[in-house]
Order: sequence, then C-alpha cells, then structure tokens
Amino acid sequence: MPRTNSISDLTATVTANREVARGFWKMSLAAPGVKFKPGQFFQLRIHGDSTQPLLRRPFAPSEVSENGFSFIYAVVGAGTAAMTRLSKGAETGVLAPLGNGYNLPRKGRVLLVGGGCGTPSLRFTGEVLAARGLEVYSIIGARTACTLLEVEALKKISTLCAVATDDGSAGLHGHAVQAAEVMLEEIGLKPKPVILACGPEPMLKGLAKLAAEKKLSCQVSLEERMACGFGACMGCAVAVKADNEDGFIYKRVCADGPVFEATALAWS
Amino acid sequence: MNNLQTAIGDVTLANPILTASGTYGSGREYENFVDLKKLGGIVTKSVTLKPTRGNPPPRVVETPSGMLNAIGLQNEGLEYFLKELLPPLQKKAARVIVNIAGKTENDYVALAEGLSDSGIDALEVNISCPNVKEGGMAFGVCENASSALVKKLRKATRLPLWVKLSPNVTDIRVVAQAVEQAGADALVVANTFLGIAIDIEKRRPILGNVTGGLSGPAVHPLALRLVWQVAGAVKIPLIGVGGVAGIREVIAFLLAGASAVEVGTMNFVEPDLTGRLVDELSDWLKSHKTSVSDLIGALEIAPPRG
Ligand SMILES: Cc1cc2nc3c(=O)[nH]c(=O)nc-3n(C[C@H](O)[C@H](O)[C@H](O)COP(=O)(O)OP(=O)(O)OC[C@H]3O[C@@H](n4cnc5c(N)ncnc54)[C@H](O)[C@@H]3O)c2cc1C
Ligand SMILES: Cc1cc2nc3c(=O)[nH]c(=O)nc-3n(C[C@H](O)[C@H](O)[C@H](O)COP(=O)(O)O)c2cc1C
Ligand code: FES
Repeated sequence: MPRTNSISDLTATVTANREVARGFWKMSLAAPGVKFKPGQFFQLRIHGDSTQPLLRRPFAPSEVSENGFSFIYAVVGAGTAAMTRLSKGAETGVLAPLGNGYNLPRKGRVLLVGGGCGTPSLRFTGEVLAARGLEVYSIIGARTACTLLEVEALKKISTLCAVATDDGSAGLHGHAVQAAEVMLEEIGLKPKPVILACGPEPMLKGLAKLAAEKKLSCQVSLEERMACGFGACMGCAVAVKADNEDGFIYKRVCADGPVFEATALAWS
Repeated sequence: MNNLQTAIGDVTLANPILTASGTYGSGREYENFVDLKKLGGIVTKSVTLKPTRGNPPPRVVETPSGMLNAIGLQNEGLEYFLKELLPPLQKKAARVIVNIAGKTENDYVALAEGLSDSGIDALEVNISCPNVKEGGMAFGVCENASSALVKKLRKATRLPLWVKLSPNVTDIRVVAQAVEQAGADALVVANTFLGIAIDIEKRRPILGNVTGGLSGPAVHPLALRLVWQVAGAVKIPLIGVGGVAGIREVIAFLLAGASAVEVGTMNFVEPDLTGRLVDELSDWLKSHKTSVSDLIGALEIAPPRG
C-alpha cells in the first residue's frame, strides 16, 4: 500500500482553546506544513513529558490552513478533560496526517451527514468540496440545540443545510438519518448525491441502510479505540466483509480507514 | 569492542535496543520515524502457521501509565510473511528476529522449519501470549510443556531459539530453568501481565476478549524484578522487556542481568523512541566511561538464594 503522504511527528503550539458549545471545546494548533486530506485525522499527545494519560488521542481537523489547524472535541473522559487545561502557548505532540481520508467525488452532488463530534471534520471536507465547485448538502445532528456544531460554517457552503436534534429543541425532532431521508426526498436522486458521514455508529449504520435502499454510494468515517494510530498495533479492529468461512476479516480503522465504503463493512 | 555492542549467544548486536513483538509490525510502519538499520534488531509481530483473524474489538484500553491489549495474534500467516513482509524487512534491518506462535507443538515445529532457510538471525518463541484460547500461554505457564516444546524446536532448527516467557506464573525461575535445559539460546523476559478493565456504568468488561495483557511503563518494575530473578537462575543471556520509556529503564534492565532490551508500548506514543534510545545510551555510556557489556548484571547486591 503506497503512502500518499508521509506522517510527521511534530510539536505543535496551542494558539487557542475554548468552549464553543456545552461540553465541546475548540483547540487551534500552530503546526506549519501539516497537510490533511478530508477524512484524515491526527493523534494528539496531550503532555509530552508524562505517562498519564499514556496514549495519544485521535481527532480530526475542522479547519486547516498553511500554518496549522483547529478541531472540536467533546469532553468525555480524563484525556479530553486534561486537554481543556492546555492554554495558549502550551506545546503538544501531533502525529499527522493519519488514515486514508474520503474518496472524494470530482463533480456532482455530495450529502454530508454529521452527528455529535463527527460534524466538525465534515466542515473541512465540505469546504474543500465547495471550493472545488461541487454542490454540497449537509445534515447536522446533535442531542440538543446548544450542542449543534459548525452550523454557520456548513450553511455557508451548502445549497441546503438541515438540522436534527434528539429533543426537538432545533430543526427536525429526531435523528440525522431521518433528516437525511427528508433531504433526499426534497432534492431528488438525479444526479445521485454521494453520502459522506461521520458520527456515532447507530447513525452510520442507519445511513448505510438508507443508502442501500436508495442505491447511493456512502462512505462512513469510523471510530475505534486506538493505541498507535499508524497501523502498527492491530488494536483498532473493524469487521470488513470477506469471502472466507467467517464472512469477514478484521481491518485497521487507523490505517485501512477511518473511512470505509458502507457496503464493505460487516455491520454488527 | 564498541561500547554499545552486545551478544545474545552467537548473535552479535550493534546495540542492545530491539523492538518488542506485536508493537512494531514488520518495521514498515516505523520507517518514517526511525532508520531501522540503526537498531540492534527488529523482532516481528508473532507469525502463526495459518492466517489468524484476531479477537473482536475493543482490543486495547488505556490503564494508569499502561494499557491492556487483546489483539489475539492477528496476522496473515507464514506464507504471506515469507513472501511479502520478510524480504523488505531483511533489506532494512541490521538483525531480524521472527516471533512465532502456535496452537500445538506441530505448529511451532512447522513454523521453525519454514523459517530455517530464510536467512533470519533468530527465532523468538512466544509461549506466553495471554490472549488466545489454545497454545500461547498454555505452554508458557507449564514447565513440562515448555520444555517439551523447546526440545522439539531444538531438533527442528539450527536457528538460535529465544524463548519468550510468561510472567503469569508463580515462580518464573522454574520455567526458565526448564527451557534452558531444553536447549534455548536465550530467554525473553517477559510477555504481558494478564489483566482486566471494567466499564462500571455498563457493568461489562471493556475488552472484547474480556481479559488482556498489561504493558507499558506501569509494568517496568515487575519486568525488572523478573529479569533479576531469572538472571540468578540461568546462564543463558536474557532480554529484558516491559515498560521501557527511556534509557533509565534500558540501563536498569542491563544492570539486572539482561544483555539486550525490547521496546514495546512506548513506540505507539513516541514512534521515534528506539532510534533516540540508541543515541542517548551511547551518550550516557560515554559520560559514565562504561560499556553495555560492563553493565550487564552489574547490580551491586547478591542474587537471591533458593
Ligand atoms: C479517527 C478518529 C477521529 C476522531 N475525531 C474526533 C473529533 O474530531 N472530535 C471529538 O470530540 N472526538 C473525536 N474522536 C473521538 C476521541 O478520540 C475520543 O473521544 C477521545 O479519545 C476520548 O478521550 P478521553 O481520554 O477523554 O476519554 P476516555 O474514555 O477516558 O479514554 C480512554 C481511552 O479510550 C479511547 N476512546 C474513548 N472514546 C473513544 C472514541 N469515541 N473513539 C476512539 N477512542 C476512544 C481514548 O482514546 C483512550 O485511549 C475521534 C476518534 C477517532 C478514532
Ligand atoms: C498491542 C500489543 C501487541 C502485542 N503482540 C505481541 C505478539 O504478537 N507476540 C508477543 O510475543 N508479544 C506481543 N506483545 C507483548 C510485547 O512484545 C511486550 O512483551 C510487552 O508489551 C511488554 O513490553 P512494553 O511494556 O514495552 O510494551 C504485544 C504487546 C502489545 C502492547
Ligand atoms: S491503532 Fe494501532 S493499528 Fe490502528
């Protein structure tokens, strides 16, 4: 498997780090020269000189520039809690770019579907696609109105942008998959939009089903617990359909993914 | 002799820094970060006779200053290894040590035979994987089974046999001595420590395999104690493995009686670590006017009796 871009292990300086929605923080890092393709991710070493937390944490960029990048993270455990305490000027370790990224269509229409902390990385993806002249549609799902992420940015680049919340406090009262179904009704299937999605597994699974029904191509970005993030440990297994006795083999989310064709996965 | 040089039986190593099986793939993933030739040698991921699917996810979980893994020896099998993975590694590494794992004695023998003419420098025999139902640790926790296996392997191949022991035993010296008498050339001390992590909200184990092997800085004192104990019980060279994060752990392993060390989990966090360790060790030896060979077993207390 040839590497399209080689991985760098560098020190990045925090330029901003603040809460942007309830329980979600945005961190900006100065890291000149790091190039991401949409759908790729990085591994962050929170404290360079400590073994606690030990492993790096995987995140995907929401904005990328010449001099660095930003990402939005949900504060869910010890590692992300420690991240909120990094202030401007702090140094962190970044291993990037990692993973395959989306196989981006060259023209036509794209439907982005983001759920929870999966949405921010689709902002970067959407901006790249819009800049290349593709027609972007987007769905943003969240638990509740105040945890909706990147709404303004996605609205700006989308022909249509819809929101869904579990509690009905904004947009459609329901899940991102239902919102996607509504959107597809509205925009039709000619020409067929390609679905690119990032979010919780039930959402991706629901989208895979919807895409199969409508015969649409659908790529999903997965999450799995990782140790290395660059293909060495076999820690991040996902079941992919295979022509063998079991009907599947395990592939590495970090190196063979994180983006997979929805039809290739042996969904549990 | 250069002050970094060391020897594991007949295998000389330019320096004592090796990679730990299962943490370095077949080297390829680290080429961005380390000049593989600079290391004493590369120990490969365990190779099994047939492709092995591995355990269901989650397979890794972080623990205080360490991690549990239950990969389940996922690999593509011997044939693929010989054809696709070994040749490029042999071009890029100073020494290649292939780690083998089997379900039965016959598996191990077939692996040893299959690798005998491949030009590798040594076999590392994994009798200590805690994450598979058959074979693996079942051999390593029983001195009779390990001894019988090593005797068979000794007959099957002329390759140096480095036997990787399990720490999950009452007295590691018993297995160490049995394996030495059976003809092992070196002992690798040790594999991961059996552990478990529980999601208290879901009341379920976190790992798909329920239990896993503990590694990383947290296990270093445990591995160091094992090396020191085994050093007092056998004459063959030892390779220390467990929790190496810097040259402090490397030197401690040497002092406790190891002739080389393997670096595992910390490669995930600092992929350039092994290369840096070679330089830092060299500097330390110079500043202390000493050598690797002078450090081996130089801990200044009497070894334990009994
Ligand atoms: C490719 C990829 C991209 C990601 N991008 C983002 C992002 O842009 N924004 C964001 O908020 N989150 C993202 N995540 C999830 C994020 O990595 C986890 O939420 C984070 O690691 C949790 O760390 P913690 O120490 O706070 O949690 P803890 O639960 O304390 O972490 C314990 C261990 O489990 C791992 N872990 C826990 N949850 C996850 C998870 N969902 N996925 C993978 N590993 C997990 C941690 O990395 C750590 O090793 C991404 C995950 C992957 C795999
Ligand atoms: C993810 C992972 C996979 C491993 N796979 C193997 C393996 O295939 N064969 C083996 O003999 N040991 C395996 N090990 C054990 C290591 O080689 C080493 O003995 C152990 O991790 C202790 O060293 P460390 O603390 O430096 O990681 C594995 C360890 C880890 C963390
Ligand atoms: S996290 Fe190590 S192989 Fe994917």
